[in-house]
Amino acid sequence: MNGQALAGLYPAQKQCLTATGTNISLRPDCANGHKDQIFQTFSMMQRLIKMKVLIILLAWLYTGCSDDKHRGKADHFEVLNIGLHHASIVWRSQAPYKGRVDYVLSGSEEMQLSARQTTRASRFHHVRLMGLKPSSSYTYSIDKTGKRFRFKTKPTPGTAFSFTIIANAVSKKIPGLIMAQAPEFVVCLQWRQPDEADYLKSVRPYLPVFNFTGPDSILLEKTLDAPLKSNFPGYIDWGGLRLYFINRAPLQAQAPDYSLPARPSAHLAGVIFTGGVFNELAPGRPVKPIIVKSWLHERLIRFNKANPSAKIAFAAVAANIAFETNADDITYLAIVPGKEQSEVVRIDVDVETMTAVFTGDGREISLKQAPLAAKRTCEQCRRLADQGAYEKSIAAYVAFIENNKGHFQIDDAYFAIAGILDEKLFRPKKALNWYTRLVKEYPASTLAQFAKQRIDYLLAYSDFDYQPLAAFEQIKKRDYPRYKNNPGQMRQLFKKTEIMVQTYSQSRIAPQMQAWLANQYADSDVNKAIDAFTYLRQKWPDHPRAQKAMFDIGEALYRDGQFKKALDAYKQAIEHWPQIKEAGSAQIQRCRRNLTRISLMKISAVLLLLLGLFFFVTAWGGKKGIIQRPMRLRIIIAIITLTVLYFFGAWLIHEQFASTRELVQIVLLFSCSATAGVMTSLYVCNLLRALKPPWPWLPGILAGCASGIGVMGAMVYLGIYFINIHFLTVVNL
Amino acid sequence: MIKRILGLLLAGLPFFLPCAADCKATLGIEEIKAYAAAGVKIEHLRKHKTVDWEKIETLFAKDAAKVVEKTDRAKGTDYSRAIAQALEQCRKGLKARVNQQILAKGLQHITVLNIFGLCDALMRGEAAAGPKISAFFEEIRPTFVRRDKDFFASAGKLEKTAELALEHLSQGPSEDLYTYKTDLENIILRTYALSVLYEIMEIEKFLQTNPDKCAVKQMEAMIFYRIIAGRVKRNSADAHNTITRMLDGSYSMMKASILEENLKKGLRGISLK
Repeated sequence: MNGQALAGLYPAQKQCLTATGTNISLRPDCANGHKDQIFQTFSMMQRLIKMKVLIILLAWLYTGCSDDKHRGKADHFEVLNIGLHHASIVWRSQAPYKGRVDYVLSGSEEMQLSARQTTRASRFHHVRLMGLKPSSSYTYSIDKTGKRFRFKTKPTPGTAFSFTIIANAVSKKIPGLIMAQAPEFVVCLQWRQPDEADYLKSVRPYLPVFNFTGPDSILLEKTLDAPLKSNFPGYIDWGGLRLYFINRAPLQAQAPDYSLPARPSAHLAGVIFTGGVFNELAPGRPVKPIIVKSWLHERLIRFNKANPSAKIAFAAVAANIAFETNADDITYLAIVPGKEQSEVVRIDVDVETMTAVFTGDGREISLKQAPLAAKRTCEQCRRLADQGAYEKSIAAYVAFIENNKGHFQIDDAYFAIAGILDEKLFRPKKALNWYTRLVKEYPASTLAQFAKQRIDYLLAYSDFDYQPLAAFEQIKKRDYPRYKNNPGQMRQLFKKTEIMVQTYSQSRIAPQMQAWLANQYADSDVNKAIDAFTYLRQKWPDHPRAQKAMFDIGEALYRDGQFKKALDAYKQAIEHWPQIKEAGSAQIQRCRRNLTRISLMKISAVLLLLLGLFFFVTAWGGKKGIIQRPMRLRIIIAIITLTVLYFFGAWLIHEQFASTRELVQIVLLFSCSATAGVMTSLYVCNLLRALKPPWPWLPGILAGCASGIGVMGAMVYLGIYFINIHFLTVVNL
Repeated sequence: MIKRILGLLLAGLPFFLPCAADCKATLGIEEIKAYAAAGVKIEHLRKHKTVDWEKIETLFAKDAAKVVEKTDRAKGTDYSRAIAQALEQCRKGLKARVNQQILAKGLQHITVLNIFGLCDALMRGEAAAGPKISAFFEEIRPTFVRRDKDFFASAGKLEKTAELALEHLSQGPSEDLYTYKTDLENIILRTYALSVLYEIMEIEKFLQTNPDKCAVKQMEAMIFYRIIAGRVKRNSADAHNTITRMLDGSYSMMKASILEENLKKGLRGISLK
């Protein structure tokens, strides 16, 4: 600050001024000749400082006000780039500013969250909302416009949803017609000319609109926001559906090697086609032969042969005449653009089925049907479970068992049903029935052994009508993996477990629950972990988990770095439970080793501190000539030479280092420590010989060497302790 | 000759004008207010110890019948005939407690159909639809109050949410109209889903002690479900089938937990309790 304040002055002026902290004052002993000139400069500087403060204040006031009042009218709200856990809100304003979006899960009483624009202030705003839940509706408002909109995040593959297809948007009625269908997105087959009116404007804040170029957005056209627009791969994935967009680019699409990229996890697929292949269609001419001969149909057939598990079920095409026809299990739907009003077609997508509903006349066309129960395979049943449709999967397995008596996969079906009931739906009682059926009816099955194990486990905790078991399994297998990255939810989960332990304290699974809880606390709150383990020991002293609890307390303390307390806990654990002696003794040794490491670290630090103090005092005391100017050059040369040498040595054993960064750190540490050691040796040696009477030659050298080695050792130890402590095992530490 | 024709036309005019007004497809705000008031009053009258069915019938014919007829024509329902039959049965004392539900809950269904229709009209830019929605809502407000009492300890959760949406909708078309339209639709669906659930919970409660009451509750649940059936069916055909089988079946099939699970599936995205 002082340097900056006096920077613009002449040396003579600087001599007459003193700077203390932020205050600048005139020296009383300064010559009068300079005084007037200095006073002028000085008062000018003070004015400048005041102006700076004023400007900053005004800027702050401006930005503060502009946030709330001077933003001008905002419009063109759009929701784009919706994912399972994120979405982008874009809009335009008259004045540039940094936009903010407040959002909340619709219908919930959760706290409202806010997201801010991360780019610089502008008239085009793009705010990305993160950490959203899939298949969930969010209500959002933009800044303080008072307007509330709503969008829905992408569904997970097993979830049902709807979307609408329109040929074109040429009427004011179209938003109402679309919104009445409650779709999750809109596909518009026709490209809107830039000068055309945007009739989908009121839809855009609620639903993403797509055309064959990707997201159909007015703002993206205007701002050329490349990250959102340019990476459109030619398809969109929504839930379990992959929707391909093929446009009128026949040269590319008609090429013999042209293929649609398959998505292994999709279970439904469709095509939106906006090309001119069906120009030959005319009223009165049969449609099917023309479609069957088209290159599009040939590509789709080829795709379906290559991807039997996710075949393309439909192709929605823009055509001048209305038709719908099925060729080779692909339904072709014509969507006729209207001059007054386009047809709105709603596609309902479920786990196994797809239906098109022509909203104008209510016609329903099945695009994909669930396989007939009699023809359903075990693989199809399993796929349903993979998509999260557990109930449907069980029903499908049951139908499979009914329709395929004597089939070699019946035992698989039994085990799969039991597994879904046991581990996905948490209904152990019902699962037990299926496991038992498997063991009784198919004792020779390879799955019978697994089923027996599971039966034993379920029967062991069948008290209280399986309620504590089901609840605990749910926490362990479903809730914990879901919330483990969310501390707030985890706290609630632990609280829920605590309540369960209290409620079902007499159940056989209660000690297991308490031990699980204590282990979870061990990763986040060691004191709570100790309390939980202590409660386990007191409440269920004979339970095997309680006997090991003292050892677990030691582990928690060890992980927390409280080695002394951990050592005591391990000792107690061995006393109470001799079976753990081997593991306990090993842990005791590790505790002792770590305590030694800490002590050595402290000693090294103190040693370096004392030596530093010693150098400071002796150098301050006027012992000059100890390190001469030529010596400094030698030190630099020594450091460089040592660094090069050490680098060479380190390169030979480079696989021993965790990263290049670590290698560089260790090399620099060693070269600096060695140089510091040598410097200390010389310093101490020279110091002792400069004393009166001077030290004898040999003791002086020995003392110097000892101090140098000490400094080097302490520095190396400290460095390794903080860079990678595990290297200390090389010297048995 | 011309004088005679003109005379005939003039003579017919007093008869023609009311008929023409009556045949109008849209409902006037005063007509809706009268209908809503009649609905609330009928609800009040039918809860008296000795019910005056003639008074109810007169009130219905005077203020509600026209709205019901117009809705039947527009939405393809058949409540005019069903309510007339139910009123006749009630007057005769035949299963009065069950049959009166067709009148009471049927009117609510008519109201909801009109509200949804007016919401769509508002989306199409008909500003006059806003105040009409608020007027219609008065007829079903008591149901919101009751469900608030049953499920949310009279915290006014349902009613307040509906009020907030109505306040915005009554201001006419706006950029974020759809948000409040869906808010209102969702809260209506939620309230009636809770109503179905409540009736089934009541059946579970009265099954052993008062089987007669169960018939009334079943009828109430069935008509309440009609209000939300369209949405449930569209979202999950399985859930719709399960619920209709339950409501058509015997009392022993009626399980509130299963119903709740299926209502949640059917009203995807709308939380119940």
